[in-house]
Amino acid sequence: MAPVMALEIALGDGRAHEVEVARHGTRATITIDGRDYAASLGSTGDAYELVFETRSERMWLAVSGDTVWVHAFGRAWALSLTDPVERPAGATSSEDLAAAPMPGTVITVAVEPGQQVRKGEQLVVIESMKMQSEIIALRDGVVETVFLAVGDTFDRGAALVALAPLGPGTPAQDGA
Amino acid sequence: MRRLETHVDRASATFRAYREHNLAQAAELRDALHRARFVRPQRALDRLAEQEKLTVRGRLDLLLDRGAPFLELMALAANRHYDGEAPQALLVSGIGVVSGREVMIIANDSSLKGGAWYPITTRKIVRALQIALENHLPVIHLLDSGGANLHLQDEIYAWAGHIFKQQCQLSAAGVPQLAIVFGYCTAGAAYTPTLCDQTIMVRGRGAVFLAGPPLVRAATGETVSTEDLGGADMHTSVSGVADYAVDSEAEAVALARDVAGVWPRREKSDTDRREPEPPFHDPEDLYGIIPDDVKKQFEMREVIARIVDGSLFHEFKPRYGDTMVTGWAFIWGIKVGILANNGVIYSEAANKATTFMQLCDRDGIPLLFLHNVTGFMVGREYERRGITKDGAKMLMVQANVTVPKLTVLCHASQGAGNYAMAGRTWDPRLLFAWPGSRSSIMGPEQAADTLTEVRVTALQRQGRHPTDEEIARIRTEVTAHFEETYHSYYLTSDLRDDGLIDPLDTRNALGMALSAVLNAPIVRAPGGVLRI
Repeated sequence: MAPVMALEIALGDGRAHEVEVARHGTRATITIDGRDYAASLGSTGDAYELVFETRSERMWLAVSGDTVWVHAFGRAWALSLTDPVERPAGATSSEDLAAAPMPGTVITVAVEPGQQVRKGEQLVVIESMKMQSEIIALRDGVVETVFLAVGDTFDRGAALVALAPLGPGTPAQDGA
Repeated sequence: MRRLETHVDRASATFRAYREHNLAQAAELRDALHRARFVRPQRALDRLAEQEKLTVRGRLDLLLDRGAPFLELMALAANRHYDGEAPQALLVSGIGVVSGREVMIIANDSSLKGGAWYPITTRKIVRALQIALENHLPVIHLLDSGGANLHLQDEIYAWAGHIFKQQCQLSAAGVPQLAIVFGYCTAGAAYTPTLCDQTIMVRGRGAVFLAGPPLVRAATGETVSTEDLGGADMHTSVSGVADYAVDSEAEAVALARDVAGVWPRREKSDTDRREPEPPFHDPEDLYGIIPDDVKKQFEMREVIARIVDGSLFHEFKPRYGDTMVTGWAFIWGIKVGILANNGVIYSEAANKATTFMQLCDRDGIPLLFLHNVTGFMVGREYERRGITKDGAKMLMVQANVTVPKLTVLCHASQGAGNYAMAGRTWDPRLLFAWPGSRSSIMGPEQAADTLTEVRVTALQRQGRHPTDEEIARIRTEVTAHFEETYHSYYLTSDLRDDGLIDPLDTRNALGMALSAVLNAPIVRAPGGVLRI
């Protein structure tokens, strides 16, 4: 059986496409968003000869960091791969609530209800096992509740700070 | 392997504050190293010049291959001991390259106190020889010492015997040793050149004997000159204790390079290698990543990304036991298995580490431990789930792996967490520490609480009732003592590591360390890997 790789690839427009490649030697069946295409790739000097269905194209590759630059079809394309391990596991509702990663004590509270916060901004600092950890906002938003005060102790998983939920279709914070 | 992502914001106030703090720490370290290595009173340097002696640094400049790196070890030994009168414990040790061979250098510094041994000097030699023995590094001894500091003899004598035993073991392990005798080697010290395979002596300055002329006169009434009793010509032509007599220090060092050039060249241990590449993420960022207080947490993946080739890392079990980061990477082209703390160790984190170490041990991959650990999680829930059992498994496997272990104390290294992560007493092949790291049996505040309570209770038992003010004073005292003794400079002074390093030098130090440890064969342990 030919090996199949499932990839998520974002092209220039930023939209991610589901791509599967089933190789058979130098030929491959490429499935893009559910539709199959026949393709083959051969090397010609410093370039590659790509045959996609009935079209034939020369293309050149350059790798810079995690981005692959492809020159083909008369222009350059920046191609980036999304690592399946790093892809966020859906559900954004968990970003509403900052919970305690371990039992401990509140050292500082940096926000109050009604306050606007940016993603990555410090909400509270907790101390546990001789270590101080910053608890940060996982998204932009407005603080709805601060559950604890400085000096309070809590168990693992306890709610520390909640952000006001984003309703369906709520526009992103634009300072309004 | 995937390139590690970075989430560092160089413009943030935190980054800038940490950076300022860590740049100051790095400058302080550079200054401390410079003073320990080079700053001596003028009269001490004049005295060496009168005797036509080079400084120990001058000797090393001639001995080491030009342009090759020298990984100095235990460079700040004794910086907080003996009122600072024995910088570097009057001994230079390190891994250098001589005639293309990686060697261990052990060199007396006779600029002060005639290069006399202090207890820490003795332990530093023992540690350097242990490194040579474990990693099969040939040893070059540069001998120039007045002998043991007699008023500290008991602690020196307790350790010194190890030196000669280790020399015998090195020989049996097939590791060459060479001595250059620049000064006196008296009494026990006479055995160091004599136990080497080859020995070079400088005429008129070098001498080897069990007792010098004054002691001989006192013991037997015999009057004899130093040269006649144990000089270069006598030993190389009459007794056979040494092999080559030369007229100057420069000649001695040139000859030593020749001798090293004849030593057999051994193949390094077979490990996975690839073309080295610099980290993709700028190592300079480390200064802004490491917090200014040992209590503050940080993301260890950001550190890994600035140490390993291409910032490429294959993380093992990325979603399990997330306070322990485990995975494979290359450093200067050599594959390593990394275990790094991202906080306190829970059962899952310990078990993940245990399995990962078994995997690397089976596959012959050296292990690298990056410390930021305050211990194993405490509390009812964790005890009931057997946190100690999981910690014990981690200790059991870590102690018994046969692959080389390297350790860096990056930040906190406390309690049994230090043990589980191959702290000093678990014999990693080499262990470095960052200046901001702190290591102790528990945190200073917890220790101060406990110690203060003990002292207050003792006073109360005597019928005295300390006022709040007195209690506060007791607390200040015990805290100060604790903070002094868990400080990186104190710990390195007492040889609890093989050297303090600037975080920016970590990659190079580890690259040289890996190259050195591969001189010894990696013996793979039989046994399967347990998914625990």
